[in-house]
Formats: sequence, C-alpha cells, structure tokens
Amino acid sequence: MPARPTIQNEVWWYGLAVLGYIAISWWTKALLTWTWGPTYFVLVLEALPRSYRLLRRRLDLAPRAEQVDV
Amino acid sequence: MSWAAHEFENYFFQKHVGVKASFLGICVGTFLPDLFTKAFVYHVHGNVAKFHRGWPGVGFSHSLIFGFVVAVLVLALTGSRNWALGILIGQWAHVLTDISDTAGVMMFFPFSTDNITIGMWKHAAVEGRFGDASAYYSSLGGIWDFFWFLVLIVFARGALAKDYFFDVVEPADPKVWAFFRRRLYLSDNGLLVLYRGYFLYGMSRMVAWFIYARFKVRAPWQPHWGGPDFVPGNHLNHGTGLSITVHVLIGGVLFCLFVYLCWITFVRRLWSRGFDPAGVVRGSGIHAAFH
Repeated sequence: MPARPTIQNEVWWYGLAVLGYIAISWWTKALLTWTWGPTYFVLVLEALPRSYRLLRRRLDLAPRAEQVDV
Repeated sequence: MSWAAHEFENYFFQKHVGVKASFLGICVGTFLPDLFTKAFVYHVHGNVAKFHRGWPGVGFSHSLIFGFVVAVLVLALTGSRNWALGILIGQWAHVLTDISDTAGVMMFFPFSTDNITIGMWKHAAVEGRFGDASAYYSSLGGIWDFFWFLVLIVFARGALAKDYFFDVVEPADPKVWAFFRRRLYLSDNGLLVLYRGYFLYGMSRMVAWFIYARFKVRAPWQPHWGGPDFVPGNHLNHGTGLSITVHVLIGGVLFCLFVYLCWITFVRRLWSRGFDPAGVVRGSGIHAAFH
C-alpha cells in the first residue's frame, strides 16, 4: 500500500496555486494551454514543496521530525 | 466547442467507470478530436468552422467512428481493454459535447456528412484564440462550462479524493502511473497532483478566461441561445431540415450497422484476447464499462 500524501492544509495550498495560475495567465496569456496548465500545477504543488524540503534537509535546517526521505 | 467542460467531464465519467477504464485513456480520448487540429484552426483563412468540423476538412476527428477506430487500434496494439474503453468514452464524450455549438459535428461520418448541432452558442474560432475565448465566455458556452463544474462537484467530487485515486484510478492503470513515478520521479503526492491537474487547469482557465472576457476586453455579456451576437454566424448544413434529418438518420443506422459488423467479425476476438488489470470484474453489455 503506497504511503499517503502528508501535505498539510492542502486545500488552501491548492487554492493559492489556482489563484497564482489565474494571475500569471492574466499577465502572460501563456499558461492557458492544455500542456502548460497541468505542468504548472505539478510544479507548484509537488516540485516546489519537494525541492524546498530537500533544500532544508541539505542545509540541515529541517527539524528532526522532517528528516525523512522526500 | 467546449472549453473547460472537456476537463470536468473526464472526472464525471471516471466516477462512473471506476476501475473498468483508464482515466488517462479518457483524457487522451477527450484530447483526440482537437489534438492535431485546434492549433491549425486559429490560423486557417476562409471558412474556419468548415475546416474544423466539416468535410472536406478535419471534421472527421469529431465523429464517433474516429473514436471507435482509434479505440480498436489501441486494443489491437496493446491488448488493454481499459485504455480502449477510456479512449472510446473520452472521444465520444467530446463529440457529444461539441454538438452544442453552431458548427456541430459530423457524428456519423462517413455515412453522413451533415453536422448535428443544437446551436447553443456560436462556433467562434474564426475570431482567433482570444476572440474565441471572449465569445465563449460571453455566451451560454461559459454557462455550459460552469454547469459541468457543478455536475462534477455534486455527482462526482469523490473522484477527486486522495483515497479514490490510490484505490481506483491507479489500480485501473498500474503500468502508466508506475511509468510516471519512475520517469518523472513523482512521489505519491506528485501522482495525485498530476491526476487532479486537469480539474485544476479546467477550473482555472474557466475563471481566467471569464475574467478576461468581462474585465479585459469587456465583451458584451450575451448568454442567450445562439449567442453571442458579435460573432458572425456559421451554418455548415445545406438543405431542408427534413432532408438533413433523413440523411442523419440513415447515417446513424449505417454507423450502428458498421460497428456491429466490426464487433462480430474481429473486434469481439480482439476484446476476448485483451487483458484487464487485477481486480476488474466486467459485467455484460453496458456494465462492461460502467457500474
């Protein structure tokens, strides 16, 4: 059985991602495509938080509770 | 054409097929009609609607036979029943949804080249991409997208849940999700985000384009049947209503006969040789695909 995702407060985080998409689309008109759209959400909701946790771990800034595989 | 509705309906159908069809297959099927045509549609000069939905043109991509042929090819080449059904469901859903604009679809091509349409909103590709968006989200088209959003939220919001993805969607297509996990280095959360991505994209583009139409270009808000009025009309059929109805009915009968003949000659054999992922129990008839 795969591990369940543990991102907390994911509703507000998803909401921010949606607002960010709408804002960036307004200015660039470049994200309103079926290729960039889902790519943006994978970047914001997965790649960025994961990179942040990895960076914290590498810099040894993460609390002991977070010293797990990302 | 519909915009975000094509994203929302994928999850609605997923909720009703469960493990019996691949969600990714449904998405591919939904993309198929516009995949190789939409980019060109906005750059065509002349009768854009005829090029997009008519014949001669690329209107065959919006016919039921197109989805049937691609689904049978996928079944023959891969043996995956889930993918074949997913592509068939997604492509047919796209075709049925696109009868709502004034260009309609040649549903029974090549047995009938008449376009079936209910003319709810104007096919506005002739205005270019941004003009098309302004027109769509100033007409009943935008209402249609919101309708499908509500349908998803009321009847199929469970399909967006974490447990649903890991218990139903991933087991229905284990190899492809495992491929994403390996090649794209996606974690469980990454796969979940990828799955939810098209819903988020559909919701975001619906809101973003609506805001663009209302506040950027300030297009007139005309949500009446056959609107908006600032887009020129396009009607692809010629002949009387009776002659078109007769042609379409004949085309429909011939299409059903064609599918039946294909089923009894070779598709049934391909289906019996196909495989299902573990845990899939298929019923007979419509229950082979739906709950």
